[in-house]
Amino acid sequence: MSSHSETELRRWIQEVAATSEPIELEDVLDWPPVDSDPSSSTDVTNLVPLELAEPARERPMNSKRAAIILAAAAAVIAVVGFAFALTSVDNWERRRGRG
Amino acid sequence: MRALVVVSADAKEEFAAFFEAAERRLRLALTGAFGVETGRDATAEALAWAWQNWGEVREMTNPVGYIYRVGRTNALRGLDRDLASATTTIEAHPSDWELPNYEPNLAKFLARLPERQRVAVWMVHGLGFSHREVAELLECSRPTVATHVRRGLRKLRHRLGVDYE
Repeated sequence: MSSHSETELRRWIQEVAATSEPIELEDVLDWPPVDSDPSSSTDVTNLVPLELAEPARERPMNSKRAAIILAAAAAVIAVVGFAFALTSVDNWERRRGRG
Repeated sequence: MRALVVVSADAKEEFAAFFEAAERRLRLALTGAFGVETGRDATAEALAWAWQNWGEVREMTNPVGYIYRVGRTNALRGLDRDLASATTTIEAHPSDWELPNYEPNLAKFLARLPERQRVAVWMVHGLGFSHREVAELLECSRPTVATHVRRGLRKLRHRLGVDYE
């Protein structure tokens, strides 16, 4: 069944293709002026077929987002820690001055 | 004046060689994409455009791929605008492809494949063109053509309930 169907598909394509007559060079050379510009095409089938497109996935967290959040958190911790350290040193020096 | 004639003769010879090498491949690919009549007409017009712009076309790195695109443009311009939003002519009229003594759904299911998958299955599986030859036409890589063939055959197999690989 498998090889039979494969052969049937191939034969069928070949038979359909055989109904297309070759184009003569002389006809092409004598063709009236053609105004074709592929870039101006209203090309509706050049879109990526839906079946081939990767389905869009909603990811709660990817590695890039996680890295950005971690970096931001580290920066905030560093700033708070630095401020706390400054405050502590200041307080310690004040207390030392009083003493 | 004589030089001009010589250049023109060379150009004609060059184009004739290009035509000889590319006509069949372009015509069959556009037939696979749009059907026998539309495909042939689009190919003839695209090749005429190539001749009329041969000075530019001959300098291209992939003239066959470009001419294929010109052919697609021609075919799409000829479509009924009511159908153009989603289909090509062969997708709208798969009966144009039906032949006696064959599974009637072959035409319908092949016509329903996305255009590039259809052309890849048509050219590679049906007509024996190489992945490289089809990749040139579709202006994509050889692995992409292989993927189109594989996915197209898988869909046909699934829809027809048979094994085509």
